[in-house]
Amino acid sequence: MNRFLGALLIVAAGLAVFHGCDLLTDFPIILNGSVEPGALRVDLNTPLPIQYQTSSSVDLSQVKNAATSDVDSVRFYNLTVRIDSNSTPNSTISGSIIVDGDTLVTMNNMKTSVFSSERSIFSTSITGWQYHVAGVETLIGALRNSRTVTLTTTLNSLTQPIHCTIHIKVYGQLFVANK
Amino acid sequence: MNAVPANRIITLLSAIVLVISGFQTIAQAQNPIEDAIQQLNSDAVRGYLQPMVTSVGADLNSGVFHSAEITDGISLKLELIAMGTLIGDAEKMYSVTAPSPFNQTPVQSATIFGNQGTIVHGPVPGIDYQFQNGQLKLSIVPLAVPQVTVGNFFGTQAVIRYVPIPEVNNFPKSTFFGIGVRHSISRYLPGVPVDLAGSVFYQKISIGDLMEEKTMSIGGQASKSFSLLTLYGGLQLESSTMTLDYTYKGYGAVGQPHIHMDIDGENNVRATLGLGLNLIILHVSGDVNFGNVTVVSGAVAFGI
Repeated sequence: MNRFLGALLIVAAGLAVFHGCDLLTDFPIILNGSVEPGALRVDLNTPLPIQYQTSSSVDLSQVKNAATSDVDSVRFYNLTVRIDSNSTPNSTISGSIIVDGDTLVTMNNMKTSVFSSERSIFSTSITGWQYHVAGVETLIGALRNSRTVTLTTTLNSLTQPIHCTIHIKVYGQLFVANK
Repeated sequence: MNAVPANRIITLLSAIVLVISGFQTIAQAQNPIEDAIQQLNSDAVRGYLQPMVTSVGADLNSGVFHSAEITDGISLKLELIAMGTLIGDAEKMYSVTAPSPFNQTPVQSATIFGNQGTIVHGPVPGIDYQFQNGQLKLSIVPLAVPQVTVGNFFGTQAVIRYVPIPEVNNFPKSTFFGIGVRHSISRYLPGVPVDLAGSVFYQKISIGDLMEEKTMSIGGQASKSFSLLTLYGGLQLESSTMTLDYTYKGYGAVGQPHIHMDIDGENNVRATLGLGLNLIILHVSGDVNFGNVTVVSGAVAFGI
């Protein structure tokens, strides 16, 4: 009975102080942020070049745009590749994506159709797809410091025409203080 | 008659507004709770919010009765009912899976009432994924509602709850409404030494067009009076459902994917045990309710 009355008192006291009371924890809100360097359109016809390369700058501070208040920290957790507007789904590609000179991921004889859905560089179920620690570490540090990086996409060993649009997306978790 | 102090009424009504504000924060404005929820896909949000849906539903389904005696004659009572669902460790964790390509083995992480979200390590040192942190530090989820009970005609009384909140400063028009019927069973069993009654009760909270929670309960009650004291109890079947609408902004969101879903409360059966004090037109009562969650409630009523 004492615990019962105590619980009732808790309810009454809780109501009395509920209004205006700080109910939120001190843990930050975790938001999902992302940035894309812009779609990379690839149109390669015969005679095919020996190598195709394109570079773009990515301002990683834009990952924080998902937050409407100050971001305490940012943590990189994924980079994905997706291909659409693809009229050559059976064409194969080999090459790499490099960030500030460090190889991030290499592709070996992969059909462009493999990327019809968003694929992570860390996916282990895709044959011919391999991430590289050096490039990942470069990206981790760049995102932590919110700086601009250069992503270079290189396609080589081209044997078939390629007409598609490549989308690269960098993901980070944003830690926003609970106010 | 001792009037309830005006500031106490204001505090309790403020609690109603604050809880409804809690729903509103989920439904619309920029705020930590809404931000947290928008990062969750439909699977994760169900587990993350489940304890809150259950506790609010359990709160709403409480305090409907404080006696099983329904004697024919004019009866009118204005009540202020406060209730609170206790939050235990079971309400602070849920099972969730990290997005691919992280390990797909489910882990336990924090609900909205929990602590820090669990961290899952990725394939490279420095690559981690953290689940959403808990946002509400509550050991009890309180609620307060006004209630009018009117009857008793042919052993029947109506129970009504209603709180209208007009649109104010981008806070959408909101409504809390409940209606139910209680009927005396004792009138058919005059030899039974205790009063018996049954009830059906329906409630709905609507926040604009974005969110609502509905509850329904069916119960049987018994009570026995000893001078000024009434001992009462009951068994109740109940349900609660929260309907959510929000834009998903988490991993893999393409465009502005909209999530519309229903989350059912987990409190479906309860047993109630309470005690009331009757001072002519002032009635005070308190009870504890045992089910999937534990709810305590108290009421102050004026009337006959």
